[in-house]
Amino acid sequence: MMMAAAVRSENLRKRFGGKPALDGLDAYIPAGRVTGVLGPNGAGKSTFFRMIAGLIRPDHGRLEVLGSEPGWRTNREIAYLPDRARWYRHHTVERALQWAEHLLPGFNRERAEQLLALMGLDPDMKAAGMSRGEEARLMLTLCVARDVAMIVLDEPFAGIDVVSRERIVSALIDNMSDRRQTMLISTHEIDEAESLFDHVVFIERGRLKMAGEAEALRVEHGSMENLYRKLYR
Amino acid sequence: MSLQAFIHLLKHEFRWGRNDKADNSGNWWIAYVAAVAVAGFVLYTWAVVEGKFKPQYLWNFVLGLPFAIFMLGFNMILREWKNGTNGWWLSLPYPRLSLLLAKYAAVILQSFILITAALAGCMLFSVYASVLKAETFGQEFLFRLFQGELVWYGLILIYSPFMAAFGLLTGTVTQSRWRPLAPLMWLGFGISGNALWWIAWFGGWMESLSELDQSGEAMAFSLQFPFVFLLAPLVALSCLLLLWSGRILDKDLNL
Repeated sequence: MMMAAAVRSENLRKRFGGKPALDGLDAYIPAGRVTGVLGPNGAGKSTFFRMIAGLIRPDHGRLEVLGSEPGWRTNREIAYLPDRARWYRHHTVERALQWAEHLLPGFNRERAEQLLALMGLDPDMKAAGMSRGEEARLMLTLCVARDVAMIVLDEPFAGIDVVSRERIVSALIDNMSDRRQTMLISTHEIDEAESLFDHVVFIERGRLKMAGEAEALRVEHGSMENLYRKLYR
Repeated sequence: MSLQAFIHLLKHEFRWGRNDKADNSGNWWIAYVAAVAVAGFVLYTWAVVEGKFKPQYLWNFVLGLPFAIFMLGFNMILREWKNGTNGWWLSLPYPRLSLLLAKYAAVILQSFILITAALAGCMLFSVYASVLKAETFGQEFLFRLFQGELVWYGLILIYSPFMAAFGLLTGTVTQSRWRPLAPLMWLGFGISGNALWWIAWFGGWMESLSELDQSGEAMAFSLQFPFVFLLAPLVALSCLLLLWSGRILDKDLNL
């Protein structure tokens, strides 16, 4: 039986300078579950996520996020970690928390402080002096500590060390254990992240290549990484 | 957007320069700035005493202020892309026009501070000149000079909302599918940044004003010219530019 959709797209198209980023993407993201959006570089994952967060609009097709057209209004219910994002260099961790408290609906300060402790971040640390891993952990904390319907993480592990990756994965597992949020994660670190996924969507050249329940696909192909290699070899 | 959220965003946007260092160890350039300031002060003292410089020549710096205000607006947009924070900014759950207005308000405040500081600086240097050479730059001279300074700075103050909006629009255009318009915007920057100079030049009162002629004609002209009536059309034009920027942020960004 098909679950309620958090995101549904039909024939979604977007071109940049004549080159298609999305080329008729039909996707369904189930509500209340963790979905991995996978594919090689240039597959269209980030474009899809930016559309979900209302940063860009499709040239053609239909996209429905939490039952509405995406835009600033739907972002009240979405915590979005942008691809290749950096944090404000002049902020300390404490100031970042204040920024989130004032500007992000549903931001849970208490939860954020727990996550910061788990992530090994001190409130007095300044973003300008952080390593990429520390900065990534701060940004993830600001997203995950929100009581919203959906969390969208675009490459949360990109360019960061193994220890930081492990801390982030354990924070996400910890977060999922007591919440029923929809979570979308795009990543190339499949080996480390696949334990998080309930559902998986594979994209190639802006189109859907395959989608399904993570557990069933794991049983059939051994691991998600094996399946990824088969699909994109 | 609630007033509280807007004020927080305004505070967040209101910051000078980069301010992104982990510590203060890289502030060695302050020593150079201080050295140049001291050298400038010594040179000014010498030039005034020798009769080679008149305090009203300081007004020429005013002509650069519209350019500075434009750049404040332009950089306010550009830094989101340069620092990799544009995704955070644009995904905030508020209308893009509100996000833009917070930046606009920050630029207007910064401009006000910049203009006021420049005015205060000019006045201080004028008083200093009066102390150095009372026979030439006496009380009557100072009175006329302050009148002129207030007119010049009032003009800039009236003009700054437009330059700030134009700077924000140019920053937005450079990050959008409207980017081919950017060279025209920079041309507009050159022309509009010099608007005061054009007005003064074509009005034929710049030279006499800067010489503080005894007839007082230039001063009378500058005080009688209904500059304040320029404010309404400039504000209306600024609103149009901001609406256009908001629309670009909404629909036409290249991300």
